Amino acid sequence: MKAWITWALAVVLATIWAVAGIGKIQNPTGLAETIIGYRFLPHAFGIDEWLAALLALYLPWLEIVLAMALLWPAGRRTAAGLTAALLAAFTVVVAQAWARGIEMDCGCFDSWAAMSLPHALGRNLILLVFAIILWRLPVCAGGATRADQI
Amino acid sequence: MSLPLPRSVIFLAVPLIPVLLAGWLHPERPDWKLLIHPIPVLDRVAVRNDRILWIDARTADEFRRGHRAGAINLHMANWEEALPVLIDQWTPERPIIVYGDDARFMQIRQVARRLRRELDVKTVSIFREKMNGVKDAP
Repeated sequence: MKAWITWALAVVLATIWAVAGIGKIQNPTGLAETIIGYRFLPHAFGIDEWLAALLALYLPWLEIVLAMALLWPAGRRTAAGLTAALLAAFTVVVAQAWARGIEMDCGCFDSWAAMSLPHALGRNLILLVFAIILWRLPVCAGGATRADQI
Repeated sequence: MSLPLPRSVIFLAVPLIPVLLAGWLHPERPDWKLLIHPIPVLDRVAVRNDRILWIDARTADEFRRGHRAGAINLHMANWEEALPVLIDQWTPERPIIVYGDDARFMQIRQVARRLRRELDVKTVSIFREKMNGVKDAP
């Protein structure tokens, strides 16, 4: 695989994470409401509100860290693996909400990029494939993929 | 194929630093005081129906098609017009229960949260049910 494919995948995923993270970072309260709206958290004793608040603070920063790590050759493979894991989790959450007939914006980006759940599901699956490809590329010494050194 | 663990841990841990700062200083941070008293989500109501102030968080069209007896239609779009009606009918001993379309649970929560925040009303709950059955009053 050519190095430019590695870079293209990394840049696409990094851009998505950066845009998503920066968009969400501005309104943690709104993001927490969106997370609760997915209704996958247990709501006994208000646990869902606490978990949603913590996730709403954490996820945007994690996305920004992953965006930067994807552009760092030595950290790219690890970031791609974490990206794949995170996207897989998002995909499961979106899929369960869609299957249950919940009507909401996916909340993946800021409100300017509102997207329905089925569209978000399709996009997540494509990005998941990109992340897995990037993760599974053969690795050379130093953590960079072999394609980086071609 | 496994992830190099230390680097994964670093990537997962680095965001915790800004998270701590954001949780403390962000102007839109979660309201930690409200989280101590989360909005109860009920699946049945033990209080006598005539003591409850029902708030229907659905759209005006949906409300017109059917709603609970005595319910007030209040949502983000009609907040300014409907809030005075609510204030007229509400007394502190009347629990406020917000209901709506279960598929749009976020809308119900938005109304409940805003009521708690703006009116400083602690007795706001959410009632979850399938809206297909809520047509008991024209």
